[in-house]
Amino acid sequence: MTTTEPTQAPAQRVINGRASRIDPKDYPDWFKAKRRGGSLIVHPLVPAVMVGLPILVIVAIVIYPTIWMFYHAFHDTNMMSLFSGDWAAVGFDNFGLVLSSDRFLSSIERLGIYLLFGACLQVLLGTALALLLYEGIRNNLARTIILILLVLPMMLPPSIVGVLWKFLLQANNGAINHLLINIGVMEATARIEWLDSGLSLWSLVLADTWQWTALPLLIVYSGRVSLPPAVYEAARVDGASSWRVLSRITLPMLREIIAIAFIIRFMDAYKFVDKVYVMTSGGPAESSELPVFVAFQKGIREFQIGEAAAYAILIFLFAAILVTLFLQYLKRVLRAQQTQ
Amino acid sequence: MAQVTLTDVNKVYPSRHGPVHAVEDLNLTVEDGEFVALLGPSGCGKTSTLRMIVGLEAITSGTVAFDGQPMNDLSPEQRNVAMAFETYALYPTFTIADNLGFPLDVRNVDKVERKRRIDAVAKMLRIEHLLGSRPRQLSGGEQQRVSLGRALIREPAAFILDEVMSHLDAHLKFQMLFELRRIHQSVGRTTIYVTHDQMEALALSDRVAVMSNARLQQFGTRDELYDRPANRFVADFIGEPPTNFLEAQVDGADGAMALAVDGTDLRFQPDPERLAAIRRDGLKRVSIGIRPQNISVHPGPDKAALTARVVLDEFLGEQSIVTVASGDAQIRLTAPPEFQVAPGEDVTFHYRPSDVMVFDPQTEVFVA
Ligand SMILES: Nc1ncnc2c1ncn2[C@@H]1O[C@H](COP(=O)(O)OP(=O)(O)OP(=O)(O)O)[C@@H](O)[C@H]1O
Ligand SMILES: [Mg+2]
Repeated sequence: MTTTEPTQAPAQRVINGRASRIDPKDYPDWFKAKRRGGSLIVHPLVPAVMVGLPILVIVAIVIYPTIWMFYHAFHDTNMMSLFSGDWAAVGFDNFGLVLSSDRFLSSIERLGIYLLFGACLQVLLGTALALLLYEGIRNNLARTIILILLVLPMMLPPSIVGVLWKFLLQANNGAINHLLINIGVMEATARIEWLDSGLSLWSLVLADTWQWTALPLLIVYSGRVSLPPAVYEAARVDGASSWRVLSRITLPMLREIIAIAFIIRFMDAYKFVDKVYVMTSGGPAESSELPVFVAFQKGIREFQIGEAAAYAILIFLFAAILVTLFLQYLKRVLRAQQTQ
Repeated sequence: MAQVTLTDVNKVYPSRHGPVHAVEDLNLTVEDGEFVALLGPSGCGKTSTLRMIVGLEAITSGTVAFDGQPMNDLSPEQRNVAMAFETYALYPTFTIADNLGFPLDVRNVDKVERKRRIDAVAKMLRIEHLLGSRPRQLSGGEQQRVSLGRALIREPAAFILDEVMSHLDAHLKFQMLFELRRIHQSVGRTTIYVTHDQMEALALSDRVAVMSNARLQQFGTRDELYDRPANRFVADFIGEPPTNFLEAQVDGADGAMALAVDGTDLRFQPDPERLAAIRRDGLKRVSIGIRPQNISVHPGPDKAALTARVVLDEFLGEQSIVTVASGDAQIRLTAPPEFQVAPGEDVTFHYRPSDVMVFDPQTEVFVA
């Protein structure tokens, strides 16, 4: 009785080479609503400008200077030749100069001391404080307040911290010497020359530790908070002493977290320069210079562009190796977590 | 080994939505060497009770005592109890062998002895092949057995086991239940075993404590729970399929007293002992409880008969469960598998008057 109409196939559209059965008018309302404002593209040049400008900026402040640096690392560029434009290619001479200079080698040595007694100690101290804070203080409010107090120094700009500590460490009127005298550790007439050549590096380490210990502390604290409490209950029921719980349970479970805190501190520490500049300017007599500061001095102060570029490349290589190791470690940790 | 006594124990958790009363006035004595199951629906306070016994949770009020010595202020370590956790709580960085051996390690048991005991426990729990793995590589059921093993490897005052079989398949569960029972019989250590599976509870334990709504409902042997349930909850919770409950009017004078089920003409005839109890309490209305296993299609010399219409016939392999209705009342009864009825047919069923349980309809307490 009814005439058999051919069932009408929905209009087929081709999107990305695949047939789509969804008609644009069947798109959900929320989707259509988003498109109602019309097209953003008002002029064919707009996309070009929007992509082009950032590229220009990056080329101008990152790519061009980098290429420039690589170029000049192999030339004898200095103040004179830079302005006259008659620099000459010298091969690896700049690198030879840098690697054989006492200034560089002793700055590396200082970096070693700084990494060991600054960065490493900060992580160890931060870890100890984090665990002490978590285990020792039961009240949540007190914990939060202490945490905020500990983190405060980290929120100051490093240069300000440098200035602050420079004042605190003054030999004659500095607060630290006064404190030592007042608590009776030191004779009233004695002075510790904190910023003199014997101690200047250690003063830098002190100021830096004051500022940055909170970073590993925060990282380890948050790691400790997220450990499963049931495991600790099991350990209590099993009768483990707190020392055994710390060494066999807490620290192994925090191993990756502590390692990551180390790496973050290290990656930050190799480019440590701000406090050096503010507190000691590398001095007295180059006694507290670190590699980045030497590069800075060479390039900006002494205008030995070629040599400074070689410095920068060496530091860059060091950073690249560090980052690669870091990423590899992270990969291993993630893989271990998947299979464990 | 110890006798564990709980006296007027209460647990109140503070929470954002007001205090949660998780355990209320709990009195329980587990004799030295006894195997007691703590049975109850989810959220009734079983784990809270265990945690107070072990010492992981502060006791809000009341006393937990081992061998008469109050334990309230002692740490889990001092109480020397072994606990298997509902959530396993394995040490994630340890191998399975180290997990099992940790309680021994803590007690400075020497290496050889430790290895011997780890192997023995692993063999019993069928996890020998996993000793070198880490907890994260194990399935839920395997982790659960490791957690059980970590408790069983010890020689504590009491074993406290919290739902240690919930993730095992039926076959493995039977083997483990058998092993647990065997260990208990050979060592005879006080064991408190939490479960919400009545089969486990009844299969393993000397006595079962039934909890509901933070309260202990009944503490007794399997037969006591079956034949004299303290209240409607216990009668309902224990036994599979669940007990039939029928609201009824007490009808007839002293001589020919019967229980007339509401909305139908079924009249149950309890035995004289129960009638006496009804009379004693002066009840006009009662709740009748009768287990499906106690109603059959076979007549017997001491049985009474009733007739109703078949609604549903469920064949369960070893037996059929037939649901019959009369008026508003529905009753489930068991029949042998060869018994065939079609829905709509009338069937006559038989029960022993002594199997009719009577509850007070208001308080839901067992009358007789
Ligand atoms: N830490 C807590 N804070 C607040 N309420 C809690 C806490 N622990 C348990 N409760 C509450 O106490 C009640 C009893 O919990 P419990 O864990 O003892 O139950 P359970 O009988 O072990 O249940 P299940 O069989 O599901 O394990 C629950 O209502 C639960 O919500
Ligand atoms: Mg529980």
